[in-house]
Amino acid sequence: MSEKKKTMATIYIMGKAYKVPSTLTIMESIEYAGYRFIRGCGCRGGFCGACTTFYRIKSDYKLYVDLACQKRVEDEMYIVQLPFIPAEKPKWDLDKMKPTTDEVIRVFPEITRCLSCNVCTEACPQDIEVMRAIQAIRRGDLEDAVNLTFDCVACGACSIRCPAEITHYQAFQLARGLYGKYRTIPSKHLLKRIEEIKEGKFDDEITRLVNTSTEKLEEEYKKREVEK
Amino acid sequence: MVIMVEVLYYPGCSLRNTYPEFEKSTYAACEKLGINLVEIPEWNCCGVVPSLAADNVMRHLGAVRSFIKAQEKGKEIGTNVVVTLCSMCYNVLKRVNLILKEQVDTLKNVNDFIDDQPDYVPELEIVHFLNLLKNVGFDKVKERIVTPLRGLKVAPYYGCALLRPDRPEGVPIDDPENPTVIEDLIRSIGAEPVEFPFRTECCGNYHIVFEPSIVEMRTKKIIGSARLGKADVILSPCPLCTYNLQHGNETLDRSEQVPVVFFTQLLALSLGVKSHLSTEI
Repeated sequence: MSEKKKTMATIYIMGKAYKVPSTLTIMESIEYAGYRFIRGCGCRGGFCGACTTFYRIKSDYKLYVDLACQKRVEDEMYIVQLPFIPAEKPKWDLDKMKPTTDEVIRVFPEITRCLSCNVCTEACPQDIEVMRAIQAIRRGDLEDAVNLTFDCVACGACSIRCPAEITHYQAFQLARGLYGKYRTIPSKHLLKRIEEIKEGKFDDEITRLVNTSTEKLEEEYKKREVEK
Repeated sequence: MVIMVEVLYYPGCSLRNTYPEFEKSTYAACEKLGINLVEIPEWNCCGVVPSLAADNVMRHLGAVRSFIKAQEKGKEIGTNVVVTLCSMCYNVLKRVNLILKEQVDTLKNVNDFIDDQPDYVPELEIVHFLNLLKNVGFDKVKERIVTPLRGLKVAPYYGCALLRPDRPEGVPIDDPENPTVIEDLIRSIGAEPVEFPFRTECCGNYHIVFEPSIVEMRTKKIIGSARLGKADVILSPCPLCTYNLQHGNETLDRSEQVPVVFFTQLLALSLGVKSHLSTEI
């Protein structure tokens, strides 16, 4: 009996109990329970941030956040998925901006409301020091903010938890854009490739692909050389 | 540089982003004066306005997180003194620190909440840069002056954040009704302090955001009062006051304006180091 307990876990999907093998990820366990993902699934590889999942575990007051495709189920886990985070994406034009904190604040004035509670950091499934990065922007240290947030998958968990209603992941995108455009050395091979594209070096290849039938494409895909 | 004093230093967001001349002139002056400012690593925004509600501990967290970083850095270099330049930062940091020194339960609340850092033991002392200079000694400052600013009439403007409120006790850097510390500094750099009655009046503070007319009304009085005292320049200790006073100047005729500079800029100028003064002044 005790052996069986270890191999199966009871989880609650939106309040309903299911017994699932404890070796599964949250995402696999939801499918095991009979649900089919039409949203909130994404890449299944821990990169895209589409399967943000909030959960609590029985007798533990903490609210946890993880990516459903990465986190293994635990016994007595209460799960809810948040595949979409309501947030307006403001428009900006990097060409007309300067790489300064003031510019980031102009687009995202709410970052000045940061209370330093660090709840965003606790919410991050990627273990990014989110508050530290927001404070780095405030200090005028865009470089620090950029380096800290490189692994951000823009899942938005931080923004759901923030008492100051900051949309951190968007502010980081702007910070990285400004820093990348104005503070880093341009990558020579990228500039060369852009030139090549403009000169039409790949036009024939693209035209051929567009005009190839689905069956032929599938065949070619199966025969492709996989990078080792 | 012969280091006479080594202290922890909290720059604050305004100095980093809006008024780099305030910070740069300070660093230049400190090098001459033998003051080593050790920046607190990864300091947080102070929170800008301190909580007025006794039970709103959340508002203190920014300050406390910086205190914790300062406390740990302070152990390395052997000091518990945190120096800051911005009046608003000073006001917030000072008040929060005093509250934590007085209120054991608030301190416990804050420490329990910040469970990702070491506990804060309220042993730091928050000191404004003007008082650091006072402690070093204005006579010592005077000894190092290479270009005394003789004949320059300077209006010392205090604003409110350095002098108010008087609760918790210990916030004002000087006598709130009759402060002299900026006058003492002006004399030590060889200039002449101008007496003017509006030196401790409020500039209008954050009304600049929603009701700039209030700021214009107040700063016109302050600038006018300094001008009546024949001031060549107004000396400001505060980024927000400076912003507001400059806004006030913009609404005045050229002949009625009085330029506004940070006190560290004139200090740096008299010490013969880069003052980062704008060329228009």
